[in-house]
Amino acid sequence: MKKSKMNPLKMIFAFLAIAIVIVIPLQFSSPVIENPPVKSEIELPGDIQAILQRACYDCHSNHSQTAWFDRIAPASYLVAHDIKEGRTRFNFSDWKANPPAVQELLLWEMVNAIEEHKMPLKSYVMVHPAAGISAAELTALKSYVNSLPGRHKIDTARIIRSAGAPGAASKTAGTNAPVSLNGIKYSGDYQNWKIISVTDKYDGGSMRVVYGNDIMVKAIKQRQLPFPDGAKIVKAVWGKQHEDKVGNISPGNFQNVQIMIKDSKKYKSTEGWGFAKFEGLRLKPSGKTALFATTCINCHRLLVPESDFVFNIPTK
Amino acid sequence: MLTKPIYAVLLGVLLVSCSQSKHPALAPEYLYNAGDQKVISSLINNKHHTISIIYGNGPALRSAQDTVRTHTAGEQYVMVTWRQRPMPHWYGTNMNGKILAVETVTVAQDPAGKIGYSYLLKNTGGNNTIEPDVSREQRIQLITGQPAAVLPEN
Repeated sequence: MKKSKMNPLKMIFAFLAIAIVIVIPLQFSSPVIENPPVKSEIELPGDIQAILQRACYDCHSNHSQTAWFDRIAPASYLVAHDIKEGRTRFNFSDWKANPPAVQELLLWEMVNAIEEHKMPLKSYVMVHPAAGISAAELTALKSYVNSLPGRHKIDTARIIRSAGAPGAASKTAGTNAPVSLNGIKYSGDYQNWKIISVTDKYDGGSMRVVYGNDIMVKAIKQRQLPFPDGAKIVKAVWGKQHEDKVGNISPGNFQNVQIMIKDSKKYKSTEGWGFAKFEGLRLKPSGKTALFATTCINCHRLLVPESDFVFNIPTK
Repeated sequence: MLTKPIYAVLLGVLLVSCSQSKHPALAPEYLYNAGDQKVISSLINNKHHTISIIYGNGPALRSAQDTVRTHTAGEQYVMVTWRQRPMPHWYGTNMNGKILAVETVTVAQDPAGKIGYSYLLKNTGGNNTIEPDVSREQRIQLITGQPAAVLPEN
């Protein structure tokens, strides 16, 4: 009897010994979580700031406040990774690094990430329950983003109908068609494609017509998800003009064209989709480096993984 | 003895949950086949919670691209109106849902050379008539009067 009672104890000791042998040395190489100096802190109304500070600041600011258990390896590795990743997505303490329109889009993205229960991370809330966001707080965040300038932006500028402004070299598609930094060439073919959706993106004051090539349209008709290689989506974006007497809003100036091309091998790192964006009638390729596509897929990966990472498709 | 059926049930549950698709159901019925017609423009109407596209044949598109709007016989316009719905997974955008109506305007010339318009409304959204406060003439004017949305030169 005695012997049989000792065995489990021995096992516990052995387990503890192994844990100590592994866990203690791990502490010496445990990452140190530092708070770099604040560059430009986001300015928000007090109640909104309080919600975001509590739920998001640990990973998305230079004010990370880790609990004692966050600093113990191996948990500290995960925490350090989440903070590093969080700060690269957006950093409330380096907020003005984002142009104003991007700042607004990020705030809308935050609301959506919260609404879709993607953020704060479930694993984080499990050990930091105070970081959870209530339905009332989400409503407050929604009314805040609805008060941002882009929400009611009206395009009142005279409509420019041609890229051939005085002194500008006119673009001829085919010979010098612009190419995105990740190698996607602009082509005007989409203007002959079918429409897969039409949208009012009221978060930023734009309206869009979304074109799909034959492979894309066929896939929708056959209810085929994920979409096959060769599927292409092109989104044309305009500003929104004043509402007329009967409530109609027409497109204002052309803003940009956004492209998604499915090639599961070529674009493996971005879930099989190649992204491109060309700005203005002169179709200036968007982004500073080819990494711009990471920004695209980050949001698509977070919010629409079930729809093969595409937002603008007709679904029930 | 009892464990075997339990394993069988667990395996069954696992198989069912693995085979169930997380994908949303695609809705090809929201697509409109405009044939060879091109997009002239789109319209949002938040009073009626609708969103529309105006398509046109070659002559209609050319007329819509011309800043001096003149209409000639042979122009054909189709305005498709969908019910607006919130875009799934993105609060901040509304998109087209069910097709409510398809309006067709054809421009013709009578023997005396006078330009005339024929108008056909096909209501596919049940009793949802589009903009009941607006007359047929106003609809023709709206549909044939929209300037083409600007796109980069092809």
